[in-house]
Amino acid sequence: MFPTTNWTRLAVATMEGQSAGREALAALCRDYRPAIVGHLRGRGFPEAEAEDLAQQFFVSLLNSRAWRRADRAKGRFRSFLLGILEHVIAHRREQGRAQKRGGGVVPLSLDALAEEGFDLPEAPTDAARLFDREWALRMVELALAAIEAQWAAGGKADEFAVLRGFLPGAEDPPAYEAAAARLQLSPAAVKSAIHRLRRAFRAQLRSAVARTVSLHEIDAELAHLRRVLEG
Amino acid sequence: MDTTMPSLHGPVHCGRCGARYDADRFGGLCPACAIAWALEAAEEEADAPEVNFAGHALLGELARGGMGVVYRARQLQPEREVALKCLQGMALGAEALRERFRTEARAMANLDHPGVLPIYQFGEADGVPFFTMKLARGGTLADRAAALRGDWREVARLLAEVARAVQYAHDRGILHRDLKPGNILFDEAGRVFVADFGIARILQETALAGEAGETPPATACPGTPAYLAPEAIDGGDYTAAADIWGLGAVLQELLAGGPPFAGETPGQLADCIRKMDPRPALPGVPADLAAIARKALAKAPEQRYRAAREFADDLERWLHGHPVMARPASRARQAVFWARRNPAPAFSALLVVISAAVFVLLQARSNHLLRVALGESYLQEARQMRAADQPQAALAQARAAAGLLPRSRAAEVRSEVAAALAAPDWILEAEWPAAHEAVSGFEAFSPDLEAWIVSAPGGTYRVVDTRSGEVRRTVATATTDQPIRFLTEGPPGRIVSIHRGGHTEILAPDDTRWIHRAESWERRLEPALHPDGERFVHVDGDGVWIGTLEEPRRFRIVESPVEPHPLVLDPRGERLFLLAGDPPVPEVRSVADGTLLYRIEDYRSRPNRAAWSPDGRWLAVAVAEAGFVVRIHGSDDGRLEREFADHTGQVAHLAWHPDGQSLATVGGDQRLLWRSIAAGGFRLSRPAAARALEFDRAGGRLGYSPTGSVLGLLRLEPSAVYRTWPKPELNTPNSGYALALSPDGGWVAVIGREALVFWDARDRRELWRVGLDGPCDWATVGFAGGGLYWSGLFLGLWTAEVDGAGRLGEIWEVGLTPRCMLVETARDGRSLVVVQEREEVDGFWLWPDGDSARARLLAAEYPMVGYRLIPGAGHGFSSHWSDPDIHIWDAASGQRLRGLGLPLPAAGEPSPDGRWLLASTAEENTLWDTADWRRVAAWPAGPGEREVFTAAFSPDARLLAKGRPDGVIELRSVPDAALVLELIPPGPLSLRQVAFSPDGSRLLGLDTQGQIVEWRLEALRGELAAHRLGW
Repeated sequence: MFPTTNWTRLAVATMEGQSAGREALAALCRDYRPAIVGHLRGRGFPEAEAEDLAQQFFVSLLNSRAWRRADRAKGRFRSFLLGILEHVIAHRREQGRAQKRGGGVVPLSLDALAEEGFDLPEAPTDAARLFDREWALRMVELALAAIEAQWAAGGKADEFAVLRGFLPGAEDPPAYEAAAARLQLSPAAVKSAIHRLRRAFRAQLRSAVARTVSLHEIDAELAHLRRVLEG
Repeated sequence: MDTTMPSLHGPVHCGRCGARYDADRFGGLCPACAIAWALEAAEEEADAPEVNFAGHALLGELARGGMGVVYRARQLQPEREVALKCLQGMALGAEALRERFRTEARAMANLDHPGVLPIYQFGEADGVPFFTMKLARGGTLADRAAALRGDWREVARLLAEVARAVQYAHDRGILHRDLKPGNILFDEAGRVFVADFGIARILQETALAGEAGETPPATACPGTPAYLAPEAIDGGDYTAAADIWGLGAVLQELLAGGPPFAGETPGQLADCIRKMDPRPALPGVPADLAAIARKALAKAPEQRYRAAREFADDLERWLHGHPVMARPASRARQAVFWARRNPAPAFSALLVVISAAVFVLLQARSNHLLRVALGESYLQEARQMRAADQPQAALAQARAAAGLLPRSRAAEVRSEVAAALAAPDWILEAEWPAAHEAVSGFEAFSPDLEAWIVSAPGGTYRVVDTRSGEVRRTVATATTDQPIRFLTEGPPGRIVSIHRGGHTEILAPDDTRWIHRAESWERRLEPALHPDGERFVHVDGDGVWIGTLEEPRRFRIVESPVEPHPLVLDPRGERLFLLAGDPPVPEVRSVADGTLLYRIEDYRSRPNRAAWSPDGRWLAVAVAEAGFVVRIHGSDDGRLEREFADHTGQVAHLAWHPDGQSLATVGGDQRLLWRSIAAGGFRLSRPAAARALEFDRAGGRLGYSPTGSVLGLLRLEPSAVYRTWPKPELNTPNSGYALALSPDGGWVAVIGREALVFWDARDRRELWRVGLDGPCDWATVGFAGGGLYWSGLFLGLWTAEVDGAGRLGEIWEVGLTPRCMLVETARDGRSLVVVQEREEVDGFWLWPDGDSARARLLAAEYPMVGYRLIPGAGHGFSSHWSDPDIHIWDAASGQRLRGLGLPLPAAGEPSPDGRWLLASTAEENTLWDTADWRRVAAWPAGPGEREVFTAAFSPDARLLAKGRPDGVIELRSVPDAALVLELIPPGPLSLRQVAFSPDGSRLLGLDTQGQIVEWRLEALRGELAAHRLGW
């Protein structure tokens, strides 16, 4: 038994890998679809076509055997998806050219890709950076949504609305006293609630990243995503 | 920080890091800062759970009802995910609802049955009553109803399990009162649990209130209307028969594909339940099964099954293809009856002859059927006895079944006999008559249980030898004219007697003389003797005093009136339990200066007994309050930890087991109950008089009173066929990933999340342990070439020599990278199979003699999750969690030879001689002959088997052991895969691995907590052969 990423480990544990693995992948794809669409837009596809292509990408990925190769992509789910996506883009462009020439082109088979091996095309550097940027933003978005849901589940949606201003950002955080007054809490209680929120947010962000890389790669992946956003 | 802030619309620059981002999308949060922040947190425990409530991190809401809410929560110590139910909202203000909630918790906490959702903890925090229970992740029966349609056998099996759990509760006087598909839950392994005894009442409470002339609690409107029995709708008594209706309604719903009764208004629904037939079963539902549901749904309670057990029995009869009680007459017999009633004159003579012949044949057959039915009922009885913790009775029933059931049922009978033999048993070691004598004295066992000391007429003590029952000696007190009033055990081996006139004496039981005597104490004085043997704590009208025999009033530590009894010192003599105030409230005070440490406000009545656990961690208090209750408080702050309401008479004695984890009690209901504090559940339950109760210091013997005129000693007899090894104190989940036995069977190594633990297998003793470099999510271990090898996920591969005495040598890292991991040690006893990335090739490598320099590639396909060598054949096989099939490889060339053609992902286990390969998918187990890759046997996989794969062949390859997550191990013969027996452990286990000892005499199991259990197969085989159940 040699699990590599979080979700393969999960599936190994259940042995009923087929369905568990697919479900995990379907969930991952739901989560990362905005990044895929963003990347396609950046690669010059109009919005409608980008949405359409992303949809095709996920459907063919889910129905193919290629996704079973995901654990070969040395841990990084992000690079795996990007590689496949570039493949799909190249195919779509080929299709467009063939149509202009009046000829046809065989439909893309990701199964063939899986069988033939896994030399994923390299995305152009700028496109890859764009993709990674979208990816990083998506991670933050997912973590934010997760703590928002967590707070709402605890019946503290109002608290979240006030305290999110204390997460790092462009705007100066509001004064503790003002927040305390709005929440009818003592300033000490507000400080402690902020501490809890920050910790939860951090944990959610790490956990969002942990789902896409091997456990030991989390920090490297975070560092990469930070560079992408800062650069 | 930049103080001129841009507006929060469109792209902005972060004032802190300068990154540009879309403020609308993130509501002012800078994503770059957020990531940088999460990165900084690497040093901290970023994912440490926050504590939200009563030591639990609340993770999300599972369900919400009228008065409560159920959360998914992570308990922090011990760490596990639980379902936490608490009262909330308006309900918090209503004392009646709070009480009802506590009743629910209490009722469930006292049910320890595999089919009842277990309660872990209950109490109150921040004024909110709550309890935690097992988190059932598999949804409810309501969720599964559609999926179950057509699988009538599974429906019958599930309902039989549910009914057994309900029967268990009925046996303890608890009615469920709200059985419906939504209250029947599943865990991730598919095990079924009855939950939510939400409106259960303790029958005894009602009975008790009735006896006392009070009004019993109102029974109006219990349950969910659609599943209510007609008599309950009409306000009649809610009895066990109404729960049987509930079982019938659940079964009918599954058979009919919808609720059995419906109506647009509550009135219509009630009418429908009273008068109408239930919604008919779907086409294709077996008639006998439908008849079982109908019998349970008889409108008249007396026409239903008499007990939930009978309902379960009938379902099991149907499952086994036997006639059911609900539809007794077979067609053949109906024909005979019809023929007798309608004798056509022309054929009457002939018909009589034929009828007679048929009758004789049927009679012979029915004799056989009768025997089988009888055997069946003995077997059922055995199962129930086992569940009720009565192994001896279970054994007797299983033996009786053995003589009646056909050979084809031998595996079931063997399993039951083995299960009964596996339970430890209490043997009555000695008993002696000891009638109560007409003195106002007390009696006690000596701490070593060697002597029994009882006050006798004329102011004497008799010291009775507990082995022989003879009076060792009689000791006269100094005040023979004064009747003895009180006798208590002081520090080890001393007896304190107090006399009506106020004299106090101390006796060492082996002495024949009184070693202390004081005559000036007051009448009310009932001292607690300090463990230092010198001091007493005692009470008089002025408060609490500390003193000695010579100077009883040396210090006064409490200056207000205190109840004289109970007055209990903790084992270190530092804290004192007492009752103070009016009405008396339990308090714990410091012995040094009388400071109030805490007051326990939970009591509305006056407690009559208290006892500290031997480690001082817990305080047990007995009180008569809404039943007879024993409460367990944390001794640091008096917080209520557990509550038991299992006695129906006043609790007279409390005795802690020396392990500090369990408490025995005996009550006026003439029952002795010994229960685990943390896990709940009885270790022992038997009739006993409320005279005395004492464990010896080792905890292996228990002194008690079997009847009012007899005293006795019970001895714990470990099972001859099953042992649990001492529990390693690791206290982390996943303390057992893998177990390895040394080639000579002398040592066992277990690796878990944080440590490698090394055992002497002969005396089941831990020799040493080494911590891993960090917690890991997977780890492996194996013996090879005189050393031990182990690896953890991302922690690398390590080795150490172990000498002949089991001593650990120096530890070396042999893995080339942290991603290198041991897969198995080869059958040659020297080589390793290692998975690693090496020379640009990801794959499985063989290290001959453990030498990485000579590594040879076995297979280069990285995504394979498992690769094992098939001994002797020069083959290996691989499997993957998501790839269907198992692939066979040439171990020398690294070439794939073939697949087995399995349609689903599979896992495999080779036999030690390489002749056989077990391949298991989520649906089927198959056994293959490796000589020609022929499938020689196949059998379906059990429900939990898809979750865990662990199997082992016996060293002679004639037996196959396959572990299930519920701790049961199936033993099958090879190669026909016929079931020999199921090894059912006495307690629940979450089995991770099974392994035979090299001589095949023992089968070891490892559970996920690192607990090792041992089945002694040779002994078991001998026992079974003695019952003509050999294999």
